[in-house]
Amino acid sequence: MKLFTRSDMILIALLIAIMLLISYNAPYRSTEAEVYVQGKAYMKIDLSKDATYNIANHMIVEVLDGKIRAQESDCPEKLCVKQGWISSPEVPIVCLPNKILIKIIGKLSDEAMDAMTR
Amino acid sequence: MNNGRVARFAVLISLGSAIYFLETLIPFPLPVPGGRWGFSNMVVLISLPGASIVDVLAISAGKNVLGSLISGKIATPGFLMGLFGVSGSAIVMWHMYKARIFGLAGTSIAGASTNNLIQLAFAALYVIREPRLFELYPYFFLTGSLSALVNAYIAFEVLKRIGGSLWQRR
Repeated sequence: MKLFTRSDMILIALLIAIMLLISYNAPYRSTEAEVYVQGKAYMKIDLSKDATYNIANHMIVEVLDGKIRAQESDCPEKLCVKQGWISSPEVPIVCLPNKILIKIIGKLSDEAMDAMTR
Repeated sequence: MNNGRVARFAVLISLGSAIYFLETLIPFPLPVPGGRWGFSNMVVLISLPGASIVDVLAISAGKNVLGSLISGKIATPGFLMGLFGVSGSAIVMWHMYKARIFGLAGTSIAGASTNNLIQLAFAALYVIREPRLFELYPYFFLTGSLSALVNAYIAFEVLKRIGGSLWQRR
């Protein structure tokens, strides 16, 4: 058997095209972020609209192109601001001093991740 | 089945299950639980020239069962998914070998993609029931193809040194 033939090249090009198609058709369908203040649901943010929101007079969040970030915050270390833009559910923005949590919902749910780990 | 064939089966299956177990030591770059590289597929590639479809299925299923047994994953949903995955990919790779127009690289990548597709389909439709899991497929394709190319190259070098086929020479 040869290592690499022309048919291989066509096949691999085809597969790559399919993969590009899948990843193009499957952008993060997470269009909403949830904001929790002091552990309680505070508001839901629509990520499809570019806007800025004031959260409990502690933080200003900015939404742009489906991403969200903490633009300003009155906490001392400003770790949430330094974290920058997030667009996926994996890592939420957390501001410990103000007890604010911003997480994006959608794509892989937590249950799905747990089930995969098992 | 003569002694030579038994010995070749034994070597391939034991090598395959050893790789299956040892590859868990190589960190998997994706944040996907249960993801693995799939380097053990190289023994199936080595076995391809001159093998019948039953031989190929027996080797791929054998290495998976034995490898899962060693790593303590037998009788979990993941084990069953893996078994269906390797069987499907073995069938695809054997037919590609029979078609005579594909090389080891294409065969290997197609096998890895089939395996990933079957396992993801199983997870998405039966185990987790979360169709969005399919969005992970391109990532699996990327890592799967990387190891598949390594497998193809190793199988190519091995086959070159043993004269093209494991089965015909004495």
